[in-house]
Amino acid sequence: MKRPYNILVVDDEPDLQPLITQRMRRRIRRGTHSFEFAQDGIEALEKLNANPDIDMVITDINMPRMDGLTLLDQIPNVSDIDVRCIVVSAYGDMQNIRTAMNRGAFDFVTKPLDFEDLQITMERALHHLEEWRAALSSRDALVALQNELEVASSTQQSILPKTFPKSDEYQVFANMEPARNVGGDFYDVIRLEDGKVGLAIADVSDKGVPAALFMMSSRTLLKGAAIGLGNPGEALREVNELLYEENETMMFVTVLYSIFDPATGMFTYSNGGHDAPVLVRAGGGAELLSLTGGVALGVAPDINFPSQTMQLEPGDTIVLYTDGVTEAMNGDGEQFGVDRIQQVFEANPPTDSEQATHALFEAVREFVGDTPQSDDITCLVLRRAEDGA
Amino acid sequence: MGRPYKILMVDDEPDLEPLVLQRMRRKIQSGEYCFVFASNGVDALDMLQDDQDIDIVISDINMPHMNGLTLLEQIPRVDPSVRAVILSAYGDMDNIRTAMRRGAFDFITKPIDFEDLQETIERTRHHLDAWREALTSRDALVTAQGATDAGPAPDREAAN
Repeated sequence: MKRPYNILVVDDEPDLQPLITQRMRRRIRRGTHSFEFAQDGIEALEKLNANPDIDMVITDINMPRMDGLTLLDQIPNVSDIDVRCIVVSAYGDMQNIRTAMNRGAFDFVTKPLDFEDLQITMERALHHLEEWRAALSSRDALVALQNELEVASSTQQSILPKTFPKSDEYQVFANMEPARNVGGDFYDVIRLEDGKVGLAIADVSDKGVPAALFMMSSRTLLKGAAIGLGNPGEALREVNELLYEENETMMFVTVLYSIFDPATGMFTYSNGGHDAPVLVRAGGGAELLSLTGGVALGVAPDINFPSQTMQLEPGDTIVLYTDGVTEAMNGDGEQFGVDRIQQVFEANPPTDSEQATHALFEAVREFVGDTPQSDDITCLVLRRAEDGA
Repeated sequence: MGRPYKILMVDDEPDLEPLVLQRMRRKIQSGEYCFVFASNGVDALDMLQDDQDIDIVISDINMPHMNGLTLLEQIPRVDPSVRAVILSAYGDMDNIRTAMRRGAFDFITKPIDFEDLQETIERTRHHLDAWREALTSRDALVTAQGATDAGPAPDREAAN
């Protein structure tokens, strides 16, 4: 049950206490209100300091030691309390009433006490307090939730690789900028046997916390499959089966998974419903890699994901990205589109993976301007070095 | 600084407008306050309906068509975010008490003590700002909670 409202009555007249206890007896008996009494402002402050659960102060004005107007001034200095104050004044004592109101009293009543007016005034003040506390609790809940999302976001960011292979033969770089605190995009760079490297980019169908959780399990499953199986298509098939089995949330993930062999320059890839990578040729010119179908993972069982192979020549660059890049929107509702990715790299053929990644993010930022980001933006760049191996 | 605080003064006495504009000219010039005027409760409600920017209503009690006490009851139906202050004759306790019980945020007595009026406006403003900030947090909470809930079942065709 809700605790009673605690009301502190401050007056130096001894007959007020029995009067209030008598007139408020029903409320006291029902346990909805409880009353405490103080003789003057100093005793009232002591009680407020001792009991932060006091909800309301009803105070007389003229009292020895500390009067009601001074008490009103002092109440904001008592920490951890949230009270409404009602002042009891002599009838028609406008000056004191105005002073009390300007010192933050919620309302006033006049002497001799009209108990009906006092009760209405009390209930109005308590109602006001309830509304205010409800609004405050929303604020506290918001702060708590934002803190949790921040932790989730940094946890999610921390599992994405931050250091990338960089050798005489090839370089990799990647970046992800989540749209909300936590996102559904991810990339991965997995070192495989014989110096090969597995490169993945993926986009979970939703955003926010559920997408982030689905992303975490997708990434773990893909990493396991990538290390255990030598072929991208087989890895996707396995991940699809595992996601499908326990997919009660009905989410799905689009994945493009590839294996690069630095020794030969062979780039083998398989697609699960993801956007086609952009290939930027060493001699200039950018094109989309051809894709063989492949639906998103987690949707249906027993799906084959064919693998395709292409030769990456020295100086060639592969750009993997999510639709956060292509569907980034500017103020006119126009999308960035895949053509602009090609244009970015045709205008400035990449010489370095990190630089290429930054160039693409920069181009997207410039394109969208002040328009808020609505989707995670992720990009992974693989570049085979000019000299070859 | 944000937009000026918009105060609707409601009184059937025509001399109130020039008086308020004169005494509050500094606050008006500095862009802190902005005043609009109505001569009875009916006009005041119309103005509240048309102008969502009004923050505070300061109303006289005795007016033709609709008096200040009736206006007090009507205001929350038109715009619950507005706070009302009642202008009463000095010492008119019955009307002041009625106004307070009907939800007035405060009252001011006539003849207007402009220092008191300004203090009252500032307190009302402080109260409104805190209240609006709390409401904004509540809306932000709903949005943030939306981000943590699973959205509608995704359209699987879109992924193919």
